[in-house]
Amino acid sequence: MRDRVMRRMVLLVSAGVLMGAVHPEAILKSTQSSVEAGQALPLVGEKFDGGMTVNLVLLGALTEYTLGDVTADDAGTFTLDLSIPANVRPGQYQLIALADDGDRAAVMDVSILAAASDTSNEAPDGEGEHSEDMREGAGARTDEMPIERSTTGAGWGLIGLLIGLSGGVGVALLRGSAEASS
Amino acid sequence: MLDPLREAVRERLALDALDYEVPKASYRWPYMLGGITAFLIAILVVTGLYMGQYYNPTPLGAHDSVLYLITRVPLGDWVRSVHYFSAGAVVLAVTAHLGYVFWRRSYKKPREGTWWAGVAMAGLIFLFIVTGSALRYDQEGFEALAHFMSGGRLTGGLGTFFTESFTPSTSFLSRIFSIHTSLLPLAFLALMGLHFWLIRQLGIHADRSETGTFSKHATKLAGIGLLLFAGIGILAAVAPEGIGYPAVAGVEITKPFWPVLWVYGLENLLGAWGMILGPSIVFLFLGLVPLLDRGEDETPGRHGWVGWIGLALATVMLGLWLYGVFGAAQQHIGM
Repeated sequence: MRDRVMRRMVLLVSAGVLMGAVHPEAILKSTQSSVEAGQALPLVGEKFDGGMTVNLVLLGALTEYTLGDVTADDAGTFTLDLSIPANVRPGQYQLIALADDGDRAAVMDVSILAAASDTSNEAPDGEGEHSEDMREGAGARTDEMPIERSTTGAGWGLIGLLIGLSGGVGVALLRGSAEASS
Repeated sequence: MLDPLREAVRERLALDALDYEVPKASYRWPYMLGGITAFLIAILVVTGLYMGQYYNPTPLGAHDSVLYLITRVPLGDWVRSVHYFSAGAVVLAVTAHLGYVFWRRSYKKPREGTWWAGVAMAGLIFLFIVTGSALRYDQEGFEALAHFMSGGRLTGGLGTFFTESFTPSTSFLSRIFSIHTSLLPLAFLALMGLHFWLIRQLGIHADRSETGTFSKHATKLAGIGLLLFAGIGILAAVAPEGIGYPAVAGVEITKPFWPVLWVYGLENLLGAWGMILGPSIVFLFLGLVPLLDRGEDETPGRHGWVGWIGLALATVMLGLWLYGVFGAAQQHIGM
C-alpha cells in the first residue's frame, strides 16, 4: 500500500518536471534597467516556444502602452531594440510579453525616465494645466490634482457596512458599560 | 442567547484575567486618552499595512503608486483617507493625554519611567507624521524629504542618518519608507510594551478611594474607539484626502501637514534651524519634567515654575502654529 502511494508520488513529481521541460519559462532581459522615453531599449527574449509571436506591452500603475508584436526564432529567442514612444509617462513599468491567448509569457521590470527635453508636469489625463494656483518656480504647484475617484457601489456598501457595524457595536459597548457602572 | 457564547469566549480566552482592580476614575474620559491613542495607532497599522501592498517607495514610482491606490485599488481611496485622518486624530489624542498627565503631575515618583516612555512615544509619533507626509511624494512630500536632508546636514555627523549621503545603495525615499513602516513601528511597539507594563505594575495616578475593574474600562474604551473609527470613516468618505502634483525639485512653496505647522512657523522666524531647535526644546523639557518637579506635593496643577514653563511653551507652540497656518509660505532651506 505504502509502495503504491510512493510510486504515484514519484510519477506525479516526474510529470511536473517533464511539463516544466516541455513548457520552459520564457525570459525577457535587457542590458538596461531603465530607458528614456523616445529611446530604444535593447531587449532579448529567450526560452519562448519556437516561432511563437508575442505582443509586447508596457504596463504602469496608471497607464498601459502596446508596443507591437515580435516573433521568436526556431530556438525560441529574439533580439531587438525596442522603441519606447516619446509620450510614455516616466515611471516604473512591467514590460510584458503577452501570448496569443492573453497569458503572460514573460515579464521584466523597467524604469522609463523622462526624455531629456521633457519638462512636463501634468496630471496623467492632462487636466488642470495652467491653473491659477500655479506658482512661479519651474512649474511646481501647491494645488491638488483633479482625481476621478473610483469607489464602486459595492465599495460604498462595504464602507457603509464597516461604519455602521463599528458605530453600532461602539454604542452597544458604551451602553453596556454605562449600565454596568450604574 | 448570547450569554453562553460570551461565557465560552471569556473562558477560552481567559478574559477573567482582565477583571483586575483599577481606580474607578479610569472610567472617566481623561483617563481614556492613552487608550484612544493606542486604538488609533491600531487603525493606522491596519490601514498602513493595506496601503503598503500597493506603495512603490522609489522616486520614479511613488507618486504614481499613490494615484493608483486612490483611483484603482478597492477601497484604496477610503483606506488612505482613514489613515490620514487617524494620523491627525492621534496627534490630538496624544497631545491631550500628555497635557492631562502633565497637569495631574502623574510623572512623579515612582512613575517617571511611564512618563519617559510616553514622551518617547510622542517623539516617535512626531517622526511618524513627518516621515509619513513625505511618502506621498507630491510637492509637499518632496519638500518634507528635502527638509529631512537639510536638517540632517545642519546637525552634522549626528544627522547623517537623515540624509541621502547615509548610503548610495538605495534612494532616500526608500529609506524613509523603511523607517516609517519598520524602524519606527518596532521602536513604538517596544515603548508601548514598556508603558503598559509600567502602568500595570505601578497603576495610574488617580483617586483610589473607589475601585472598578479594568475590563469595564476596556469595554468603554472599545466603545469609544469604535465610535471614533466610525466618525473617521464618515469623514474619510465625505472629505477624502487628495494628493498634489508630481514634485518639481529646487523649489519650496508648500506648507507641511497641519500637526507640524508650529515647526514651520518657527522656521519662518529662525530659518532651517527652527526644525531642529523647536522639537528639541519641547521634547527636552518634557523629558526633564520629572527631574525638575521633585517636591513631595502631588496636587494637580501645583507645579510651581515648571508648570509656568510648560504653559509658556504650549502658548508659544500655539502661537507658532497659528503663524504657520495663517502666515505666507516661505523658503527655509534654500532649495
